[in-house]
Amino acid sequence: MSSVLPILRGIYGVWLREITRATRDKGQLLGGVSRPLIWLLILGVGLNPYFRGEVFGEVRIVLPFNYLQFLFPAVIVLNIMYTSIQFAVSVIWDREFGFLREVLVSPMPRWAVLLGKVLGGATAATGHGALVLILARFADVSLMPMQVVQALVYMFALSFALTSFGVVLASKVRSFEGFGVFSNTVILPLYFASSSVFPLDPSLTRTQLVAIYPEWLIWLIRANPITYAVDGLRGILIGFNQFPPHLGYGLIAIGCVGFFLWALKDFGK
Amino acid sequence: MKQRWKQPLRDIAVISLGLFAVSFLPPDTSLSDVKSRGVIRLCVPDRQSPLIGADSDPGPELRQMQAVAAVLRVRLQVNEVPDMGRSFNPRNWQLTRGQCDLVGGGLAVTGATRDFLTLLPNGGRIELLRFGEGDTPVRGIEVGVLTGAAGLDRVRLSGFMRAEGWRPRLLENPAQLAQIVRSGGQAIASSLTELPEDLPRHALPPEAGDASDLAFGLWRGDVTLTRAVRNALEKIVS
Repeated sequence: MSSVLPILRGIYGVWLREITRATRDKGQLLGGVSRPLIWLLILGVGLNPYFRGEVFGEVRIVLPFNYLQFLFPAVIVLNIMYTSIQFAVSVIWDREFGFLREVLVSPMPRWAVLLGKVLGGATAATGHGALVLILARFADVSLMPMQVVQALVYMFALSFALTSFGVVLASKVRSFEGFGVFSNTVILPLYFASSSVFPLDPSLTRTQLVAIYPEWLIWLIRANPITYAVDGLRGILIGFNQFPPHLGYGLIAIGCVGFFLWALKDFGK
Repeated sequence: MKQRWKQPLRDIAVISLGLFAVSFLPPDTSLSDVKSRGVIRLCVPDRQSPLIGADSDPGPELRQMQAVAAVLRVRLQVNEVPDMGRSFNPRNWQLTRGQCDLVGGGLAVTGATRDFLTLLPNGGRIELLRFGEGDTPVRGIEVGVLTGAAGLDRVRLSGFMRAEGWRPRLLENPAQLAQIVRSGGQAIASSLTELPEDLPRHALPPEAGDASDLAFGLWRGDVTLTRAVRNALEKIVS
């Protein structure tokens, strides 16, 4: 017990430092607000009429929700993706300015330092995801308290996996500028190829889907783990899944463990 | 609270308040269109249905919609669309946004209606019943079908009838149904159909269709109108 408490205090210290930095970084906070505003208010409202019914029985894509409701969980995931992955900039920052070296030579084990950092990043990313929940009324998504709790737990697990993934990326990139470009080339393709902005109607067979979208795109969407992450959150927030929900939960659990272990292998090298 | 957390908490509070204020922006023009027109249009399959009735002696759905129109401060216009009761396929009803803002008059909450409309349950229930003497009719028999209530799963019913080997015959009105049953025939109609109490009636198996809640249907994507109607309905209930 006497050896556990100092480690827990150390993890708390690193977590608190990351939270302090995240809450003082006004640019990051503004990013967390501007993304949902652009995606939900402008893209969502702009495309909503193209997905709405005009003649009963004649809708190309049959979904039991309107476009804003469909997009809402995806915007939360987008906010989490940006904050989680870009949080890894702090790892490059710490490495560049020697803070990481100082922490790593402390008696704290390396996994505890990494855990503190990842927990800090995951908390900040969950906070950014939670900001989007405030726009639920705008998207006509009614949330019960239990749904909010479930969504927050899910968002935290997703943030943990993605922050660990961001640390892996940061260990491969040596400069701030390089990471900025690299993260955008990872986040945006993953997001767009995840059925986040257009639906794969689950009531259609594969043959019918291929008649709407090219086969390579369907393959890309099905191979993309973010597809299942977005789908899992859709299940919680609007009660709609395009795939079995356990796929999303399972992939996030695997991502949490797998990416953390991978990040631990590369961390501090 | 420590001084160092005051500023970040203030920033988060300002951002949250800003987002909360933004969430009150209207996401579409559906409600403002209705208000500027001064009329909300309700499409029903049958003006004489017990759910609708006359303006002076309204049925439960008409009463609810009159109250909704009063809350929205617009006039209620009820449009009868007889095609709604005549075909198994909702596409043949030819209901368009140009005709109606809402669909009612016995719209059942089913997968088919939920796929195309946003449904607001109104407290009513509907199920399919078989009218006629005796046990399950034999294969090859002609069974009258009165599809008066909009939105029941007609595709499922026709599949069930095909599986049972019954030949469907579409009926025009309750009187025709009563006449067929009195002359020893069989017929299927919804529980909302106004028929004499003495007609023998039997529940149909679940394969023919589930008992469903009734709802008002709004066009998918009409977020502001849906919200206003939902709030009005809640206000009426409370």
